[in-house]
Amino acid sequence: MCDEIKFPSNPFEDIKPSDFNKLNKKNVTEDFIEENLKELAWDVFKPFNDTGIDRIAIKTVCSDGHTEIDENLRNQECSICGKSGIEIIRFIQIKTRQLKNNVFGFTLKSKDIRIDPRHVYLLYSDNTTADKQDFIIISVKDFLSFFNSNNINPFAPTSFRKGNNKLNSLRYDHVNDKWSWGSYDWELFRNLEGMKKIQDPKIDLNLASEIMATRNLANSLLRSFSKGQTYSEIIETKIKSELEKNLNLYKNKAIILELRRKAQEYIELNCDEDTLQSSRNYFEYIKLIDTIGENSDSMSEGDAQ
Amino acid sequence: MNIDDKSIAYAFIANGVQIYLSDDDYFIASKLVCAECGYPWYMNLTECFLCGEINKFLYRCSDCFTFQSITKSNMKCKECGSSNLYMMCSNPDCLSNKDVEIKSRINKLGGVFNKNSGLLIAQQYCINCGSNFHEYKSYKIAIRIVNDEEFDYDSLNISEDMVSDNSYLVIKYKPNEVILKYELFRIKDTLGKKVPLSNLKDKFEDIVDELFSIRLMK
Repeated sequence: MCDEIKFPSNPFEDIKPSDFNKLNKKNVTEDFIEENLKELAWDVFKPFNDTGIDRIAIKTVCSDGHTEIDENLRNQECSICGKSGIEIIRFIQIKTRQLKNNVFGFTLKSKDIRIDPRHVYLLYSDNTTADKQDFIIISVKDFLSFFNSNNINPFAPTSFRKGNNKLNSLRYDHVNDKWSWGSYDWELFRNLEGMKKIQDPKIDLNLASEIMATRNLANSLLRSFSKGQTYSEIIETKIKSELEKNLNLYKNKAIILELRRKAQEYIELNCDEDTLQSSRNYFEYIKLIDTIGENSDSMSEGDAQ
Repeated sequence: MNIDDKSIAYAFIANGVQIYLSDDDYFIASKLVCAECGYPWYMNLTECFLCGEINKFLYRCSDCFTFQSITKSNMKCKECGSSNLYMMCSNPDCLSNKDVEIKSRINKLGGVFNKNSGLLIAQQYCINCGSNFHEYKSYKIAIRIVNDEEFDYDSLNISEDMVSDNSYLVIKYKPNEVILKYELFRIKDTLGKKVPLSNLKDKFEDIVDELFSIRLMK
């Protein structure tokens, strides 16, 4: 059935996706993706506020994986094994970019690395050619696993934690019509192949163990440090040792809680009430932007202080 | 989206829940929470990369050690007038405070919690229980207004398509202009039934607490 489906396809017949410029394309590209997911029988939900998850997609599939890529088993049993379906849910973070010198460059910050494996990155190349668009669809677990397996760590440099670590290794080869990360083939995450992978219900059926596996991957990559040009080798060695020590220590949850309790106590002993209130206000502001998004005009950072 | 759904959507948002809209007359209420205790997990909150202490958004004077708000200052210490204010980790035992060489280098970059240090990271450990694990909790939510103390599921016109193990019904009980109460039902438990309203809540936040329950640490 897959071979007969053109995915993605342009649902908006009056305009080419490549005709949108940077200033107005967020809405249309996310709609483009939404309509394409609907074509594959996903129920798609859009955020009331812009908070980082650009779409939620839900589908009911056979727990043994018999469901076709454009099928939804909602209120039905699997026609192959007779099992009733299970509802799977994916939290989709979209990055739309135009290729520059055949490179799909994008930035990921530490807040974008979630360890719920139902979190999916959808990288939308809206002008692979003027008439061709591509989706690279990859779950956070597969994303981290790819780096871990291939001894690549884009999260160790300080630039990742500064929030300006542009990833420039995802490339499109026009001659062979292939996507790759560095020298590694990424065709398995492209378009329908990527959609097939995220439709796998094993993630949902084994959610607790999948979360643990994703956390282990995240810890091995994120709890790593390379000095870059910012720090000396001596400092790098000390920081690496500290990270490793604390990662082990904090397996005992009580230790990180006690550390924070003591730090809070220290702050309270050493701050006047105005200063403490400022700190509390900032925390409230952070809670707010997690729910309503950073671009809300209802409150600015200054209001928090 | 009709006005009743929108009103409830805003009530969820006011209680820290994210809302995702469908083409149908229901929506998704979702929240990133600790996978072990259910406490909210804030990806915009930052921690010290070295020790895990939470960013308190304060400056500290490295001369007289006074803490102060990061905005009320004119980049001078309110106690001693020093310009050596840094966004330091508030854990006195943190490597960034104990190791002289590291402290000096980090302070030149503005302190651990200054972005230039590259030593802050989005929340990794639960504020409530210290767990290292988070997950999305999400529910499909249908809203219906009821004037009587009982409702008949079949009269609610709930689309079969939205019914799953994760589908919930929020009943807004509004018998007159004065009374406004809420009750939460798992839709699968009400299918085809006449259901009495026996656990009405006065505050919407009680509905949110029921859906997104938290096991608070003592």
